[in-house]
Amino acid sequence: MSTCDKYRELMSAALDGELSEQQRAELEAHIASCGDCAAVFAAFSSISGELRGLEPVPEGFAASVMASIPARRARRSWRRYLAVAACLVLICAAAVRGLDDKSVASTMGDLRAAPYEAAEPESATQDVQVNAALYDVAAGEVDSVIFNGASAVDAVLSRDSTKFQPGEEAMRELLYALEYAEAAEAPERAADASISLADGSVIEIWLSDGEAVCRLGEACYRPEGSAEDISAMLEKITNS
Amino acid sequence: MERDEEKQIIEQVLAGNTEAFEQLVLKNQAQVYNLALRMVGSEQDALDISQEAFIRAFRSLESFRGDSKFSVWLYRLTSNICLDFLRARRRKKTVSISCFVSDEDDAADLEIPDERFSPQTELERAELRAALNRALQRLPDEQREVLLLREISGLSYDEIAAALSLEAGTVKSRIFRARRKLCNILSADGNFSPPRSSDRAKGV
Repeated sequence: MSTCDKYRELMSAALDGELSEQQRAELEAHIASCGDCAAVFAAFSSISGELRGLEPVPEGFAASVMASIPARRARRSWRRYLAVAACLVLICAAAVRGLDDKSVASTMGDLRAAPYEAAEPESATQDVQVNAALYDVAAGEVDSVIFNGASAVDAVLSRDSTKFQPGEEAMRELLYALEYAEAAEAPERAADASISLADGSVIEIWLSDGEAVCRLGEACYRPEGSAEDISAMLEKITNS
Repeated sequence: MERDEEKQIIEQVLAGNTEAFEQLVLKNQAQVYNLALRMVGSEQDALDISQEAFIRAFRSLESFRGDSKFSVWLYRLTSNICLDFLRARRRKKTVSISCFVSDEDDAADLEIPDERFSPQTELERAELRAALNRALQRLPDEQREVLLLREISGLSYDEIAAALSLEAGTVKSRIFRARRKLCNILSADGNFSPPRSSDRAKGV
């Protein structure tokens, strides 16, 4: 039997075009002389043939995909959200996991490696769900990260003593990515804007010298995106 | 689609021409949908998963670095979504269904199949297709994934190995074990009466 077993493994590789000429010839000779192996080969081939026959994709699929992606993909507009996105993601991570501020920075690694779900929303904003998905950028390693509506929608942006509530859509956009955030020092002056979340945590944002810096507790980040970008992003929220 | 062509389209999309993405969808939708369909076994779920896969691909397109073909990257993304979906579905089930063929089966001999594996009529083909879809659901996830990446997505052993961080030898043996298991499940399937041809095997 062991001879036949060997050939059966070869059959599988043969169907996948992974055999050398010599192996192929050897296999063919064996199949020609062994009824059982011929039957197995026929079965393997038949299974393969069946699997390779593709079912038609339901009509309108491509159109529905296209309808659910943003009409224009502008590279810069994506980048400009990174700053706040990074901070929001970290804040949510901290809130959800109950971590203290100091450990937030190290959460980034975990976030990228393992998906998790936020706790069930408890507040009255339960019906407002913001499902923000983080996309791993490299290889789809990170799956959807669900933020409950409470923490995201309760966010309040303060700027020039005025308070704004970012709309759901704005929040969704904010939560895209955090890849480029890096550690930074906070300037020694009052922040230019701040975002308070339902749990009392505050993200402070400084804009200066063409750079943006965000701070959450002790942890500070310099996300990619110029001060101008961040500024434009804040404008968008304050107008939403 | 050639790699250069793919690359060009991706460049266009990244430059703001979102509509160009549709070409990538049209080119890959059949493989993505069928991969999902065979992974999770339900048309509606497969559609949702396919849609999710393309949307995620779109959103993370900027970071697609072209180390592999776009399609390989996309299939891997799809497969990951399927695996998560299956895990979540399993978690949700309150009653555990032990429909897996036991591990011992891995070491078992291959049943010699009969002629029903060579369906002659449309009806027989439809029957085989249905039986095969059921049988697929009984494979361990990691075997099904590798087999489908090969059969539906048409990836080579090396491409699968690179995408899943496996040895090529592991890919090869997983695919073989998946086929052997499918063959045995189908042979044992009550829809068909097993032949006596195994007598012949035992006589040797």
